[in-house]
Amino acid sequence: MARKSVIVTLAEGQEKKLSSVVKSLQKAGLEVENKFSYGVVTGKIEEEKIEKLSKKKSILSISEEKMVQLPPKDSPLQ
Amino acid sequence: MKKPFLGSTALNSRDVGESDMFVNESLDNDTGRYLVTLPDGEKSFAELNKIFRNKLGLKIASSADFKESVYSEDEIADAEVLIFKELGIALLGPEDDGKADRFKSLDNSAIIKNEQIVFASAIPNSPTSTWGIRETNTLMSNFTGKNVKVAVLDTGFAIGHPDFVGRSVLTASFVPGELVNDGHGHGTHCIGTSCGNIDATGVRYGVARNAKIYAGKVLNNAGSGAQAWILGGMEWAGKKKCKVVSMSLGSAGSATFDPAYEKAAKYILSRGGIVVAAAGNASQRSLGFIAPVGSPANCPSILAVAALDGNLVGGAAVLSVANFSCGSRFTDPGCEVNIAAPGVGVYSAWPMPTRNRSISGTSMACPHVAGLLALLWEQFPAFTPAQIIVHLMADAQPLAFPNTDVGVGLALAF
Repeated sequence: MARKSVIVTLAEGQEKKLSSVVKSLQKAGLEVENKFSYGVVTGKIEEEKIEKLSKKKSILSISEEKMVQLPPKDSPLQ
Repeated sequence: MKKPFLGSTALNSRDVGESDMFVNESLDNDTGRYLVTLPDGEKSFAELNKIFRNKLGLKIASSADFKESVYSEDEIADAEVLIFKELGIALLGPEDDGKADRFKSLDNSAIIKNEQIVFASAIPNSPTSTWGIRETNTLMSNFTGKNVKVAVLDTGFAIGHPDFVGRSVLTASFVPGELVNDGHGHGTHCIGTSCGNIDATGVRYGVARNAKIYAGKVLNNAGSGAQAWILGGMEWAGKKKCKVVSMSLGSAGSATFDPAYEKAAKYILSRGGIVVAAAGNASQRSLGFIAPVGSPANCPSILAVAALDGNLVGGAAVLSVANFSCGSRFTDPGCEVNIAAPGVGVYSAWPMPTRNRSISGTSMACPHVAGLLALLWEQFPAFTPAQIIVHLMADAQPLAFPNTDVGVGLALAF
């Protein structure tokens, strides 16, 4: 099953009870990799579990993790 | 086939070597076009147009004819004179077929010069400072960002760089398996512009030369970074109560901002810090294409910085929007460009043995603003982030370009 790296942004105020929210995310299938005190959790999850997870009231949004890529170091445009 | 009037050479990037540090107009970079500058005190092209049209029989296109400030080749298909009304400049072209000489024989009031290929040569650096330092009035400021904590989240920092001897540098790496030492160069360059001082010959290239540097490595030595690393760096900068967080990074923007970055930026604001980010380099304005502000710069709680180019006209600096600089293309609040700073041919620090190098990008504009914010924080340590931002905006120099491209204008030291 395809697993995706996701960024989970918690709803307003949920950061105050971060550890209990994280537990519920784990129960929903999220393998938590980072939890940030301001209310964002990152991790991996099976693709088909994303939709169910996104319906949780404690979550504002869930999105696939984005990558940033700079130009090669010898490029004059950075 | 007609040679394109705007083409790519005048406005697009050209490879820049280190020897281009003091580029001057004696280089053989003529484009075959001529720049005609209005005589002192003259505001209208009416008189010159009579010569262009009636005596030389040339076809004229003017910036007043277009709603957008960006031309496309189609719109100026047959033009031989392109008038940049707001700049007081006319461009004669597209080829040097003797019309410039004929014009000179008919008029001696206007200044006519060969147009030069501009890129690193935008506005020359001087033996004492880069053009960015000069144009932002940094040299005139009484402040140096003394003891202000400035975080630069990027590819890290060239530990032991000789331009930073004696400086306070705190580091942290959020890239698994890589130490903070900068194997790319981008991060060192951005730290140089925001918090550096002078090079070996005394050229000032850094704005907040007494700031406390917090170098957070969130992009690896190949220049790529996962969002989780970047979010981790933002948490670190907030926890450390950095007053400025400079992020010269991003991915393509869309109509909506990323809520995770917005939450991180709000957290930093709550800890007393301000986040600035590069607007992005995805535009090709010479072809009439303006890309939207990238992410995370498009977040409402992050200041998006556009890049300015410049040219010397009659000895004075004339600024323009850099060809690559992204612009506001969505109506979402906060997605807009907020402010602009020099971002073409920016000379700063680079890992050894190169030591110093000139490069271009909104990535280079962003740390100018970060440094200027540090100067303000030193002056007004009791201010809130919102008060500092109001000050930054009020001090900016308005420019004759749409605010969708340059925000409130050129960021200046107070």
